[in-house]
Amino acid sequence: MNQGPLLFFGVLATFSASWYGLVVAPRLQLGDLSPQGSTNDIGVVTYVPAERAGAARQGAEIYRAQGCTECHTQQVRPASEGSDLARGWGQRRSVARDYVFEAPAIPGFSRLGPDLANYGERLGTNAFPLVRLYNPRLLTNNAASLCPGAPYLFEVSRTKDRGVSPTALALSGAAALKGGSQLVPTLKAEQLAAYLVSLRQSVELPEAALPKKEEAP
Amino acid sequence: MSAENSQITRPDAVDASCRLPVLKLVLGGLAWLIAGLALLLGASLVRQLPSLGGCEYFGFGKMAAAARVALTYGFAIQTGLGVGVWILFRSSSRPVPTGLAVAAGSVMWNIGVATGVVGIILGEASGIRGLDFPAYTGGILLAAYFLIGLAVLVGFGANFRGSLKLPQLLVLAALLWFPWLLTTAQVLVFWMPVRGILPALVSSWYEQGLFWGVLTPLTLAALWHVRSEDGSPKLARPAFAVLGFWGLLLLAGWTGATALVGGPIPAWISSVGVVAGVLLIIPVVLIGFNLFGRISSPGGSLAILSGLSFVLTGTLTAMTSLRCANRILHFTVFPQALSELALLGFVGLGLLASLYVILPRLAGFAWPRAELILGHVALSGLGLALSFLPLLLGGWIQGNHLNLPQWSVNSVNGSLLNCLRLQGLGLLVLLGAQLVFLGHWVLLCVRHFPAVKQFAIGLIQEEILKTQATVRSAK
Repeated sequence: MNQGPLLFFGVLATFSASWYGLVVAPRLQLGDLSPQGSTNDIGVVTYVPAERAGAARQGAEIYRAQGCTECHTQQVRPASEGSDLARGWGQRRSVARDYVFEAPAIPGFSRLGPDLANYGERLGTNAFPLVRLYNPRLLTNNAASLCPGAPYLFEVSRTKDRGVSPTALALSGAAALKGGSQLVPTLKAEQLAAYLVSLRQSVELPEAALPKKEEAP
Repeated sequence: MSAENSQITRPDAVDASCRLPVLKLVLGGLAWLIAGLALLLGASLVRQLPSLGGCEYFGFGKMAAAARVALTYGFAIQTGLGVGVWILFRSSSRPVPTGLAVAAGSVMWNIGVATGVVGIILGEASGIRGLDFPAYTGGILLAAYFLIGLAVLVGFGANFRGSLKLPQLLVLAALLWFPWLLTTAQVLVFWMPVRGILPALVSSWYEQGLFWGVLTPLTLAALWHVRSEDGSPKLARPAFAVLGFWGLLLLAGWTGATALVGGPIPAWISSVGVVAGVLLIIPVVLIGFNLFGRISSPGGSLAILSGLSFVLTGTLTAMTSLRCANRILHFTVFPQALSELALLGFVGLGLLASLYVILPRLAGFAWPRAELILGHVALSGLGLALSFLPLLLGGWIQGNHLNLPQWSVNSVNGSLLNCLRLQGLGLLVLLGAQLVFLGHWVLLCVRHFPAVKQFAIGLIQEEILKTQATVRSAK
């Protein structure tokens, strides 16, 4: 018996089934997702989530290239699936609409480091501590961190040659540089920092409401 | 003598025609196995000692992704294709008519893998698991695969008469699955990229499809064909094996959704993933009936270890698909342990077991030192256990602690550190084992150097003459 056609169509059928189920059907369901627009009192329409721009967009490329996704996720799971919400990694679970502007989204697969879906949110009004990129173990209460740091995203320059840089890291103790030298973040470091600050998902969406704040008595 | 039988070629003539393409694919694969394990070991060291990770090119993230590309594309797929070519032609007793095209495709494939690994190290990773390499690498791999796959399918189809044996069926299924899978993923992730969360879905579908739909059939074919070559007893339940094979193909891609359970995807996709993951236990058990039993070849113990790894991989995949387990083990090192068991344990050891039969046939000489075989098998088993079991335990500890919000991530990692150290040791032993295997092969070649040299020259001359004849007949 010639088994060639049977094999060919069997393989084609098994392949096509999962291709349709996990590639085509989700594409049909999620392909046209768009940001949620709302009009405020003076008639200005705002959209959430907002598209990332400029340095933050460049920073996403650096995040991918450095392999940060090997240790950090960017997805908050619902309370029934883990302690993400209890840890304060987000106010609500992540949904597909949170990623509409990501090209591509990198939800991640491992948590040797904390989830970063709302890293910018957690920073609040504080500036991004660039020393975290240089050497995370220099941060207070972070000496045991396994994050390797990226000193190559910084350059040492002499203050008498270039003047004192406003973005130079203030290092102290054993990490401090010799007098007259400063550690200045490169453009890549600043772009990566801008990207991390831009990571925010705490916006109200039709399919993912924010928890209601308790009203003061 | 029937017309069909008149075309059957003597085994040594079939082996002679397989030498160039199969050796090219297999030896290239072995080189990537060593490189991939070295990268994985480097990544493991940097993860334990983050102060080592200050070098731009050798951070944990880059080395881990580069190791995945080297081991999956460089070693597993390439060696699997080499073994597959040998199985297809050897078990139909027909020579490979398109060996030069397969060898040329292999060269191109190795260039593709090299651009992928170097591209990741230089900072051009895509960040998409399973397709970590830069966009241009995918194009080279696809072109190389079409050269290899078409040459094999055309060469096999042109001469084949009769009915397919089970290992041949498995190899042909893998040869058909892979280009569809890679082309779809390549188009949707790199060439006409879909936005948002969809690439993550495509990549998990691709990753699981690659393992269960391509690498698993190739490895099972290797394990089952070796039994027929070395005179071991036949399969215990051949009907189960066929059913299991089709079951695997049916569920292969669907299990991809398990990686995103609880994630930012529609609930029905998570549910499909859970169901597919649990159902996977059926084909795994059906196939498992045929993986054990006496194997006479020198690498028989490796085949047993490989079979054991397959059953464990399938069982643990099914178990971790359940929501109660997924809640604890998702995002921990447990899935990494499972990937290592699947890729290095089942696929790696299974293909190496078949090479203990294939390489001496192709070289025309037996393995010179029995103690080196024993050393390779023992070190491989020890290395696999050391790299897999601590991560399994570590993943469980990590998951339970991550679910307690009072544990900081640093404290969770602190409780995991000893497991990571043991895993590093396991990778070192595993690397040592593969160096023993490679050294043994070099020893075989050195011992018979004049003959090997003569054979290599003859091989190239023969291929050139064959190509000239093909071109002449085409004209």
